[in-house]
Amino acid sequence: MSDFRRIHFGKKEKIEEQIRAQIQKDAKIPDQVYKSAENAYRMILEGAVRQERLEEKANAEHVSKSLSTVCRRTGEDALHDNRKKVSPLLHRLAYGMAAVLAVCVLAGAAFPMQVRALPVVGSIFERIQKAVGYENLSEYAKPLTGDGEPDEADSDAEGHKNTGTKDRTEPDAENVPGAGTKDRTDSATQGYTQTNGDMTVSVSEVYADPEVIYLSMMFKSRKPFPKSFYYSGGDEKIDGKVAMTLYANKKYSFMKDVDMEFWCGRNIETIVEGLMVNENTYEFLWRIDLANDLGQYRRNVDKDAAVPEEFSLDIEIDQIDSLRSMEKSYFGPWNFKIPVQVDDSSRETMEVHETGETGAGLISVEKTPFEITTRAVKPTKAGYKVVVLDAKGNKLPNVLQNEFWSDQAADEMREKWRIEGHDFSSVEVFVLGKDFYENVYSTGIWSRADWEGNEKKPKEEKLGTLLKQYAEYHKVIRFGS
Amino acid sequence: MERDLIKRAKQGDQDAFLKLMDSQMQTMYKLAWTYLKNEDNVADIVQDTILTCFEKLPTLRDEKYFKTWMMKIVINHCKNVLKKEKRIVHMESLPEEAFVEREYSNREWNEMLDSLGEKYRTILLLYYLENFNTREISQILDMNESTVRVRLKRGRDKLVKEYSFVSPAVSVL
Repeated sequence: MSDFRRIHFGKKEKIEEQIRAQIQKDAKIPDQVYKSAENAYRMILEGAVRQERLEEKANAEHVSKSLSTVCRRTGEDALHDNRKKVSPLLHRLAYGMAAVLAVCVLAGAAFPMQVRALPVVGSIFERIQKAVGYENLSEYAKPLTGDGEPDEADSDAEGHKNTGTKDRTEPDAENVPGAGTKDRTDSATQGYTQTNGDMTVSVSEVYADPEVIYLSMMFKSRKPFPKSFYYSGGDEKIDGKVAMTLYANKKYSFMKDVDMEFWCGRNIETIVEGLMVNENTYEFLWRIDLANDLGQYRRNVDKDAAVPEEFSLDIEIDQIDSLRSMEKSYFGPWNFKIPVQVDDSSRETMEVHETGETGAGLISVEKTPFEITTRAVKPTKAGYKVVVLDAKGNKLPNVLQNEFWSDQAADEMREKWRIEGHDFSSVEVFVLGKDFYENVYSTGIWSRADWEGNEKKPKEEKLGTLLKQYAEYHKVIRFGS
Repeated sequence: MERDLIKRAKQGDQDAFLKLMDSQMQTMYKLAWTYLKNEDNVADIVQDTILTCFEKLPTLRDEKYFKTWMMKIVINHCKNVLKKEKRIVHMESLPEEAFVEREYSNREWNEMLDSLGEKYRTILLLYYLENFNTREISQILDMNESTVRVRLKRGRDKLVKEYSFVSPAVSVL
């Protein structure tokens, strides 16, 4: 046991200090790591790696000066060490070749097998929407049919067709370094059903407003899914909602993917919810937070970017896991190119712009047929929470949000709430401060029993009564329609 | 000083870039180690991160986000390695321990984190090593801020429980 075991956290206030001191102790970095760094430096100095938008060419003086710095630090040998690892450049080349090979296989042969024009029977949304809390989605969503080309019936009034696989050239694509080489080919992204190994993945319907994209999808496994995916402890099958995890990448046609890869990350872990239709079939909703991705993009790449009325969304699912069990993972990729038409007609916005005495307040409340978005103001960074009650005084649940909100000011809290199953003719928004956080939220009294059934409780027991005691600001919002 | 290095590195000053990356070595190493616990892999991550940072640095709009940006690159590379490792594990049915080099897990800085589950380790590292706040951590890890807060609290509680001893005369908390 090391000395650290004998650290005595005698006083609460010392804990932070002691943990920080321990973690900040210098690590003894192995020579191997330094050698890898030297290799990277050498590749840079020798010009084997180039900056994407290099504005100035480095001069020779810098090169020689830098080389001498490197040599001084770890010795001459480091520069001449032949690393066991294949260089990243070779890796990249290999990946590129592998990608080309994969595309060739995809285009002409059977693996991953393209199953074109294979419609998913009926509406997945109709079957799962109640279980996942979006009961009306099937009325708004459009079915995706055919092989990635739009269904004639889906053309809009002006005769516009979904882009499908046709036009991949974006206005300034030529100016994006690497754009040409990074694009997947059309042949790899056609169709809304794709099989890889034992797993067939289908995208069935799509609906989008300017903030969220909803996809109905299906996993169909040739062999039954492990029971641990949809059985709770013991032998009890889960009747209702089952969650799974995808590792997926997204690419929007109106964003330059060259930067998004780094800002939004590759293989983001995403939770989806749906129903186990039978032992081989899982149908689910994938809620994609377009506003969040746009926020990331605006903040880091193009602050003026906006969601167009129509665009295409490329998704690549690399891995499928259960949220409950690690018994099995399914590996892809499964690629889709989805035409998206944005419907802004159902969004209702109530501007409020009010603050209470402490500075806490509300900017706006927005409603779509499925969700409510609140934009609240908090006077200080920490300890604030927003709670929204429906017309009966019951708490609205948060949406299953895989992402955080990035497109907002530091003093703003932007949150989304599901409204399915609730009376949302009016909502009451509470902005609660530190007192609530410390006395209610973080103490364990905050539980589902308090959230529901409030219409039948006496006034003193209603959730709204409790919240009013702690609210720094609250307001009832009545929607016009 | 760091901002100046970043600015110069963005403009193509290789010397500044090398100095900048040297200054980040502890951070890159600790973060990659927290994920991978394998010296070969960590060495690869450091190399790949340096190269990626060099390639992409001109696309970084605001120098003040350099650290967040770099951490994200480290994490993305680590996740890719883990993904590949996972495939190997599945294919060859190797026990997970095969990838852990125990002799390196005794380092003082890491001992405390090592006692925690994976989902707490990175969050505590970012919070205590780099002094990121929970919002910044949520951005780096693509995670809901409230999840970060909960995991930070639970991780901290676990550490206190694990590493404190209670003498009859002293109350710990």
